[in-house]
Amino acid sequence: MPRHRFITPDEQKQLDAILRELLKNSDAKTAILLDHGGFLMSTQGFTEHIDPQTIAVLAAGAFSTTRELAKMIGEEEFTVMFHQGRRDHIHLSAVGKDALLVIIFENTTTVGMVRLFAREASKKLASILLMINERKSEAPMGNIKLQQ
Amino acid sequence: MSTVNFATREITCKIVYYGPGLSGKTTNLLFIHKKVPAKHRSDMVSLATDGDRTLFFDFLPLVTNAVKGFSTKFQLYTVPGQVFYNATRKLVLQGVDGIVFVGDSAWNRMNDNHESFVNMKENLSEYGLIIEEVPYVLQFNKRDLPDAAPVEYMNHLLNREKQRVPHFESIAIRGVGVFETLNAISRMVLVKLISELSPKKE
Repeated sequence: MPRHRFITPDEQKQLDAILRELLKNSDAKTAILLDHGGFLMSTQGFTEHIDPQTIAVLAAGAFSTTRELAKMIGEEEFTVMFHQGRRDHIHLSAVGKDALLVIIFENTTTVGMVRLFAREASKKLASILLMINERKSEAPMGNIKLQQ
Repeated sequence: MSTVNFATREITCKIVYYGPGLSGKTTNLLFIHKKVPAKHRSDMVSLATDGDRTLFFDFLPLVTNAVKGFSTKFQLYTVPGQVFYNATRKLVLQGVDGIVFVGDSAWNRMNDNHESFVNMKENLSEYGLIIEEVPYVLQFNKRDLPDAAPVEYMNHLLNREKQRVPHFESIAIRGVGVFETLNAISRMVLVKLISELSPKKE
């Protein structure tokens, strides 16, 4: 894994577009793409009363915890997690080797629909993330300087 | 692993406060949270037990303008210090860019400091990292204790890797040394990031 990750404007557009399409197809409320360390890569949909960064950090923690649980019963990891609330629910799934997709949805859709479109979106996201992660560790857009 | 987003012009780095239980890691974050204006930080998240001991981590996001043309976000985390929480300590280290090792200055905590430092190196190695490659500073906390160990001794105990690192004396509960430590580690993380990103001269 590289020490640093660069996301170009074009790659960001592609990630955002996949999440938007996922929301449209599944009728979910919010989609958040993050890595296992809790770094946020894209947020789409309704975010008015939520803090996507904090959700990303807690989701990464929850995923890491269940991965340890999985190892204890001989599984490599649990690829999908689902938290059911009274009105709002969270679907959390693995994307490629080092990313996660959080989808927040209401009773207006079903977990089956969300799971179906999450799987589709994950494949597309994983191929873009692979490209990002394989990039050589040099800034693609010139020098970056510390502020004095 | 720091993330540089050229679309949103954001750089995000992860700094972890490591150290033995009750050495003052959470206290550092609480003071930073109290003093940094709300526009430069979000709410602090603490996953703690009923007795206010960190169970998983504390998390505090900060936003600065340390890098020209970029909004620079630092994600500050603490780990649970108690020995039996090693699994969660290891998880928090994932993707770390810089570490503040918070040592307890009380004489009777020297073994705990040393054990925690060794444990940190072991946990880093699980992610393929060696301590020499990760920017880190030492913070010797609780310097107001009547039985505080001499700084020279704490350096002898903890600052003995190939490359000696900066150390800071602190009384985190009163804020003494807290921002000096944070400024030093954030600068070290960014200097390393920038040097690794700059086009290499042939």
